[in-house]
Amino acid sequence: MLKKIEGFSQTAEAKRVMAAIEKRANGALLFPNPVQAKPALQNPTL
Amino acid sequence: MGQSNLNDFFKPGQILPSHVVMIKKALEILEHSPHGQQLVNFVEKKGITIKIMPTPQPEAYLPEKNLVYVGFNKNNPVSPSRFVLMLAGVLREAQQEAAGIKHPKLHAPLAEHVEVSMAKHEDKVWYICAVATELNDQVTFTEYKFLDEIRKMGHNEAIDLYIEQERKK
Repeated sequence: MLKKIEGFSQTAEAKRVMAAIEKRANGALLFPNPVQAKPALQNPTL
Repeated sequence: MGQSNLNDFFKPGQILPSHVVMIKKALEILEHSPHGQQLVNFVEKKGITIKIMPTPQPEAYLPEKNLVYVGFNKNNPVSPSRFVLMLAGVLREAQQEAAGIKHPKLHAPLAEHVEVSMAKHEDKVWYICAVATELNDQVTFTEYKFLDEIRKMGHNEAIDLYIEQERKK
């Protein structure tokens, strides 16, 4: 379904977008996933 | 109000028309392009809400799958053609979402972010190029200078590649 433009990946625009995606993705990885980071309860019955 | 003419409304310093009028006229213009018509049909079929908001720089985004925002600085509004193309782009993003093509979750692997988000961006740019060339070919919209505007939006290389690709077909 997604349309392609031949040669688009080599454009300055694609490189700018790539940098922005990487920055966003790497930024997200700096922070632990709040669900995963939640400490497990030692004794859930308490 | 002239048919399909937003130009009289978007001059700096003039009072802007109501959001309803701006959106209605922009959708009317999109209807003159086959790919724009698809977007208008999508808006009607899915009940997409289009809103305008003040932003320092022109931007368009999709906070929810059925809600799109087009933003610009009201003291220095975007040109009518840019408004139409911004709307086309964000509506295409809404179509992607409706088709289940979503941005990866925040903590997805980098490779997934790059692959999916780049593909979505390229598709959106393809669509803006298609709408811009289709409208630009029409005498009615000569004064809108859609191809000049798409270049100003930063899609200079993309529009050249798109035109070349379409020429080969």
